[in-house]
Amino acid sequence: MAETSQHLLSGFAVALMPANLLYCLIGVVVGNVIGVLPGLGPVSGIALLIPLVHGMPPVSAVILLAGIYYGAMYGGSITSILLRVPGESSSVMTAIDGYELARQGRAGPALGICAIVSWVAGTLSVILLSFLAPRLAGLALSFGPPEYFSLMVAGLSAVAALTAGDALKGTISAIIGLMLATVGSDVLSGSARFHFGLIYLLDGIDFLVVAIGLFAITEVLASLVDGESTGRMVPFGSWKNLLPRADDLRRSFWPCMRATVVGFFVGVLPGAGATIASFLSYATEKRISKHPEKFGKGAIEGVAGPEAANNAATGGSMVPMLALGIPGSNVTAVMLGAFIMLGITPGPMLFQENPSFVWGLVASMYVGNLMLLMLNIPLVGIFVQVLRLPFPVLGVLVLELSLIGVYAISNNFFDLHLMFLFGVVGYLMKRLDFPTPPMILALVLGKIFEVSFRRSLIISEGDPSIFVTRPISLTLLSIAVLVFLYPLVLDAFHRARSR
Amino acid sequence: MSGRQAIRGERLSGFVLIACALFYLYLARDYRFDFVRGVPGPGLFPLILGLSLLLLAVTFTIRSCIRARAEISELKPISPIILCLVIFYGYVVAFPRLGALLSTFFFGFLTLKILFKSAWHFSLLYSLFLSALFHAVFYHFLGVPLPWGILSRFISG
Repeated sequence: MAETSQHLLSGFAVALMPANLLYCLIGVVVGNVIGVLPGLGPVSGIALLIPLVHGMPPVSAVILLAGIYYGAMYGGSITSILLRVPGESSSVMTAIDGYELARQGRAGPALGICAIVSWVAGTLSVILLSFLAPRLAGLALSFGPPEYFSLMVAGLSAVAALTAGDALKGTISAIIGLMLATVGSDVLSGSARFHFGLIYLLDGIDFLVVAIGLFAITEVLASLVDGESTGRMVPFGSWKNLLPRADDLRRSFWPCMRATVVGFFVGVLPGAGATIASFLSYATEKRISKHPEKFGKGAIEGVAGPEAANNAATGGSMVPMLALGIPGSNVTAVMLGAFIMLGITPGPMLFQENPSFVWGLVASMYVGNLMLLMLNIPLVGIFVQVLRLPFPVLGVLVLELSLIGVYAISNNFFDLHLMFLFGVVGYLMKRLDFPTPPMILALVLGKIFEVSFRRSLIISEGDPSIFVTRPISLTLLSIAVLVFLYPLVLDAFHRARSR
Repeated sequence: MSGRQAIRGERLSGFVLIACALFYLYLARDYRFDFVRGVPGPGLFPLILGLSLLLLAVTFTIRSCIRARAEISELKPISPIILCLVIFYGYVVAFPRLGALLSTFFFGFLTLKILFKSAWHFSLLYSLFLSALFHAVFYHFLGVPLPWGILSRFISG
């Protein structure tokens, strides 16, 4: 403990050097801007800037890239709340209640809570990272394919059963998402599946194409028929209403704390950490809330939980990368590439061989999270001005930004047709009350889900009992079953009580 | 629209889901789902998914047939949607051909003028502004290779 504190202090000495503070600020600002634009998340932001950091001192370069990472994570939430355009899969859940709050004229408090819980969770996760990294790296290694499969079953079950009012519709939506994930080359055998002879489909379907279609395009279409075409897309609250009230802060406190723990530990596991963390946190908050019916209609807890979880996962995802040299997500994979380019080899020896680099990076994350808060709280008023625009102005802006954003993902014209198709599908799903988040989560996790399932069967030589004979896997599957049964039991309990 | 039409919509979506499940299973039959040298084939997971969706879709259809009419939300008029979709799909098709700059401008102008009935000078100026803004941000600042379309001959020339 004392040794870690000493290392951390020396890390602060590195992170607080004027040049590094400036790089951190640049990273956070650029990340924020990149996160706001659909199609450009932290992965493309970091990838775009890697050539620019070549030749820079390694610590400064990594501080800049890490700043982009968490800056973009927050930036993605801004458009989720204001326009229902999620920039990243991890901000999909924020869009649900965040956008509803914006529609009620409470975009300011939603953005404010977002900034505050992001800072709190980000900082707490860095504290956990500082003290637990070497120990947690071992935990990540104890997760084999069966445990991953069961973790994803638990995550999907929670989302399907709890985010929708109707578990059957939620499950159908999740299954369709998994089906979409099977499009393209099979990871294990290499055979191309469900591609209809189109080479564009060989790489699979990008989740952002689907998310923008299902969320942004659908929202514009829905606003057209909801009679909002002549007025504002969403009402704008008064200036007094720009910052979170004491009640918002009180209601967000425990969701933030719970989500930080969930986010950090899920983030440690290699895979789609931040996404699963945000979905799990939303489902947990809805499950334990005294007013679950308010979720999806503008519950501040529905913003605080997922936002805290995805920011805590950012810190968690650094654990396997720094301690084991295993990137847990696309972003950390790109960062790992940058590390190697800068002559740094992450792994078990990094903490011993290059402590000033590791602890400088960790300390810069404390500083960066504080910068993000200081930068974004004053900007809430400016962001919210977007909502004062009349609907025609905002509608055209959203549609054009969506199309160009989708093109920017892979410069592929075919994706534009897919986005259009999913816009239509999303509108039909909205009208028929089918929830879209389970489909998005299933699409994001689908490939890892299938690979974990098949690898487990390879390990067990085709015996499916492997999922229930390993303790962690069995625990996770039990949670999945309980989560599914919970609404039914609750319903039966209420009926018995009313009698 | 009436509640009866809404029920029909839900019931119809049940049949569409059954058709989707059957089509998916039909396509999945091309891939091996048995074990080859201890490795499950690429068709195993799709087979499980297809059967699961089929089961759920049948359950959903049966439920929608016996469900009370009042539980289902009403459908809404769709004519503005169709107009918006037609213009937007035109934008999707025109994007590679006319290029990002021109197609973005025309899409903005047509949407504002036809769909939202905005004044022509506002439609013109706002469309020009957005087209230039997106081009500056994505093409010049972020280096996204936006298509030039028919303008490419002037750019390269």
